[in-house]
Amino acid sequence: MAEPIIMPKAGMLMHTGTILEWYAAEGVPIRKGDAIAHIETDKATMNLEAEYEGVLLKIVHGPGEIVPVTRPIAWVGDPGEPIPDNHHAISKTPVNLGLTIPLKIVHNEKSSQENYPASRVMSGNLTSQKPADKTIESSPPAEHHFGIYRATPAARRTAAELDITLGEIPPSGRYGQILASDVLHYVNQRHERENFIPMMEEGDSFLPLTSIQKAMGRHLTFGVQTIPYSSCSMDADVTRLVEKREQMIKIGSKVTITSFAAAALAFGLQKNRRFNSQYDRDRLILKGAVNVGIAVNGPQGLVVPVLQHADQLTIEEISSKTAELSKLVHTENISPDLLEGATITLSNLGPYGVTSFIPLINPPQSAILGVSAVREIFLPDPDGKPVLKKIMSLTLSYDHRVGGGAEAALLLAGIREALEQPELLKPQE
Amino acid sequence: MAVSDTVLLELYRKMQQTRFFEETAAHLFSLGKVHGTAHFCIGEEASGIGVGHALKNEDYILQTHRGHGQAIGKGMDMKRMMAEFLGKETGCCKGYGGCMHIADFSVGSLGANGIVGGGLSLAVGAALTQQYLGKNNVTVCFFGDGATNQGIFHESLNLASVWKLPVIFVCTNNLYGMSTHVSKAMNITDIAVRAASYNMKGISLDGNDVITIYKETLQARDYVLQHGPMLMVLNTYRWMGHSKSDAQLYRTKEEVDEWKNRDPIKQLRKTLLEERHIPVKKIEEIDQEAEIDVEQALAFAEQSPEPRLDSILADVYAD
Amino acid sequence: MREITYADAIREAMSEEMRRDSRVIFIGEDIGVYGGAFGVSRGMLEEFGETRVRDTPISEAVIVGAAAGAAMTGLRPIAELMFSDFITLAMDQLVNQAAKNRFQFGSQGAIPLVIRTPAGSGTGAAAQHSQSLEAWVCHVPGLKVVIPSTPYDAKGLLKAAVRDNNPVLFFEQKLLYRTKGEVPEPELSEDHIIPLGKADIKRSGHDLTIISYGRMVQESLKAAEKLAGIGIDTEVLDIRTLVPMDRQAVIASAKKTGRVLIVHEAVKTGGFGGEIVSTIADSEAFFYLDAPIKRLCGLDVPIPYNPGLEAGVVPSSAAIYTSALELMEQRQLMQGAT
Repeated sequence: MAEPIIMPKAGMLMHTGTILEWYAAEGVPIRKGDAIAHIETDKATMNLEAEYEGVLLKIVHGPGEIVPVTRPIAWVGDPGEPIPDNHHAISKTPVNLGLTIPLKIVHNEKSSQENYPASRVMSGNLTSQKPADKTIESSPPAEHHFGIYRATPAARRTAAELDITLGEIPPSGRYGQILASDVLHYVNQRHERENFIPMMEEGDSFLPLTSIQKAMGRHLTFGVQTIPYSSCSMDADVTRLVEKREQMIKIGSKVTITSFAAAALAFGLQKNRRFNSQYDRDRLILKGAVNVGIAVNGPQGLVVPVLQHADQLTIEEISSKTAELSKLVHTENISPDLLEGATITLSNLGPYGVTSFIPLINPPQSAILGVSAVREIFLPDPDGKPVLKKIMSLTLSYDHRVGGGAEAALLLAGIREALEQPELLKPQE
Repeated sequence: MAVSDTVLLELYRKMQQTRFFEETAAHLFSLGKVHGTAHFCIGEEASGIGVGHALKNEDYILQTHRGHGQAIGKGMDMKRMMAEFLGKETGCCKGYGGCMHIADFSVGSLGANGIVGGGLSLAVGAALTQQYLGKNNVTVCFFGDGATNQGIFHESLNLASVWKLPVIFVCTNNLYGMSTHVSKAMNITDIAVRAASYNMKGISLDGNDVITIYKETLQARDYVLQHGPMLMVLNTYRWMGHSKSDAQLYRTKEEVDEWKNRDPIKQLRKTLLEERHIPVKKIEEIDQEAEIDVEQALAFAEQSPEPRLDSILADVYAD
Repeated sequence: MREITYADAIREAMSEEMRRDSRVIFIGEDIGVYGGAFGVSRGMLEEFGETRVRDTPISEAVIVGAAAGAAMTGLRPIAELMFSDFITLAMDQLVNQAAKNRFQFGSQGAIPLVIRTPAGSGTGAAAQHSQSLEAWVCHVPGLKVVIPSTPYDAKGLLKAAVRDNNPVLFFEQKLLYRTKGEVPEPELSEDHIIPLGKADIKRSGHDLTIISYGRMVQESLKAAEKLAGIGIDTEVLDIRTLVPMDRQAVIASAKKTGRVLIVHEAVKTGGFGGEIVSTIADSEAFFYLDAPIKRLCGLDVPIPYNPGLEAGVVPSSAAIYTSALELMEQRQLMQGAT
């Protein structure tokens, strides 16, 4: 009996995975433990290892295809062994437009194929560009992006099938509603944008992006396009914090400024939870846990492992966990589970000498804290005499739908308070 | 024209069956075993039985909502009537019609109508079929005094007369249209005179005299086949209220009692004993048999299954 | 194919069915020597005689009731009501008798009856002779309801109605009587039966569906032609039989175009268009809608006498055209059109 190789569920929140490359070919023998394919989740890439010995009988999904977790992507068995008839009829998940454009949408019912309401528009524009036909069955309406947007049922269905959020689409209806043709027009334009080939001249060369960089690009583009964000900054006097850190290091600690910043962020959020939230139409989802994502620049690009329940950790715990996560990122061994569940993100560009920057919000979070390099400056004491201080710039980028500048400032003040009085942070037990 | 003892005994049996059937039905109603309402013809049995028994199987009748006697007179199976009364699947209308819509096309009953005068125009059509197909059969349309004030009474009698259709229009005049006495509903004392408007023969009979009704119906059959429709008014009285919910505030107990003294069944029994010299034992035997027939009908109905909802849509339209 | 009028098609259908089946008789007011108020039955008395073509007194109730009684007992009558407004006079016979006497008697027998009746406005006959009352009878289980839009359909549907074993209300729109259309030659007419319950795509299109019946199909086709001139590809679905309705055809067309305009001459409130709307909204076609479903119907008024008013209170091809533009979000063109 042929055995399926399935798209593994590599994290709690993983619903689909993308096949990036097949290392093994059909008809080739494979051994248990062989890396047979390279796959991508929305957070990381990983090798897929064979769980069975045998011959790779059939590859069901090729590179670029998005497959729901636990569905077969290939079959292994003895040479010539039959595979189940329904081997291909597996996915009910809409295709992600970023990778493949499902121009032909196949529904479960036969009739709707020819009756697709926008077929005229599509045949006029999209099909002429001959994209790969990466059709995967989808059942309408698999997933709705019901939002604050006015849209016709057909527009909603089309958007759901193409996995587009309605908020991205400019409406043309007379009541400001999005029409099905608006969705298709938008897809068409986006497709053109993505296929725009810049001028190549003598001496130019390509630098391919890693899949993590590509995924990050899509994710942040969506964030910037949909979140009305703003940012504000404050300076924190970290003179005492630096002293405390030096004392700790003397007795063997490896605590970093990043760890202090993460602890201070968790401290600030404890006092003011508003930005530990997700925006959801006309309400906020206030997250129960404070999980701080730490931006780490890994070999394949920016990765954000998560400090779960950072508000319940001591500074030493934060420090050791951060170091461990960072190491996993750098050795490319991080499990997707460790990349999930952040409620807010911290980015520290201090080690690179950056003195101020505006970080980008990582949706669906509503804020991100940017921390810059510690620098020494003279400040006047109460008598007006210059005193040498260690100063660090804090910048909070935030979703303005979640809170305004005053609320952002309140959070920043809480963070600053902890950085300026490190004894407020959760002590070693 | 002489009526044989055999026929008289059959008339007696059918009237007794009707009486027992309705008494049983009324009792079931009191026990809460019956859904809806019921209209009883107790006291009026002679009209339905006398007319119905004079007809042939291929003749049609259209009954009124007070039509149990009319149906039994025409030869309907009391088992299927009782099952219909209880709304059972084995009922003559599968439990769809209830006691207001008793029908059995196989014995020529084209159905009891819940609309006052509802059968009049249908009778014209049924008689048209008989005439068109050259049949030697007639259609009897039963209706009450109240229906003679409906517009359709005029249209139907007029058209039947114009087309000379073989219809006997039988008006069971029980003096009340629900609660309204005929004297308050029309300014004629004899409903039969209305026939003159259509150049039609009209006769008025004692509606409690089953022998007369039977004989007159036999003659009417021949008459309408030759000359076209006629109107036969049977003057009688219903002992019970209009329906089960009638407090009977519109008439006196004395009036009801007076009519009870003219019980059509007792009258026939007296004739059988005194004029035809039928042994009382024979009559009591018929009484018992009629009672057993009704008991059996009730047992059949009670043991019958409830109709099912899943096939009901298929019964709205004919294929 | 030859062309004949809608009235000719109806006469042919009746005459052919009467020749085929001696149980078919025809009754009504002034259908004999007079030939029917609209001349539909001209010549039939001569062919079939007084026993089969039966003039009646002016007695609509007994016309329908007697036809129903005859149908219950073995004939297959066609009854004509001179104007469909007069069904009011025969409502008990239609609703309580013809529609129910099969069901309430436990599905004994059948009532193979056709009631033909001219309907609609446009003849200057004012409020009591111009109504479109089809929605009333659609609400009564046991009746079937047919409204043909062309001579071709009128003939095929009427022959099917005569052969149907149920009471069929057959509405004929007065303004269609003189319209001509292709109908198969009489020698081919045995095959010309259009089953009840099947809608017909009178024009195929992708951008918009107009669902209609009767005369408004013709107006819709005119509007569709004009819409084609500005690049709007309109489908015109003729529902033909209101009961039983071809729900699948309605849903399929709504899914195909995503935009639906329903047109009927009957007044909007309580009109059959609402039934069509809910059929779509209550089906998978909902997810294909790219605009609210629109109804263009008669104004909620009795039909007035003045010719300008009479024409103004029911939809026209121009009004259908404008409504279609609205549905297609063609705002600039709409301004130009009004």
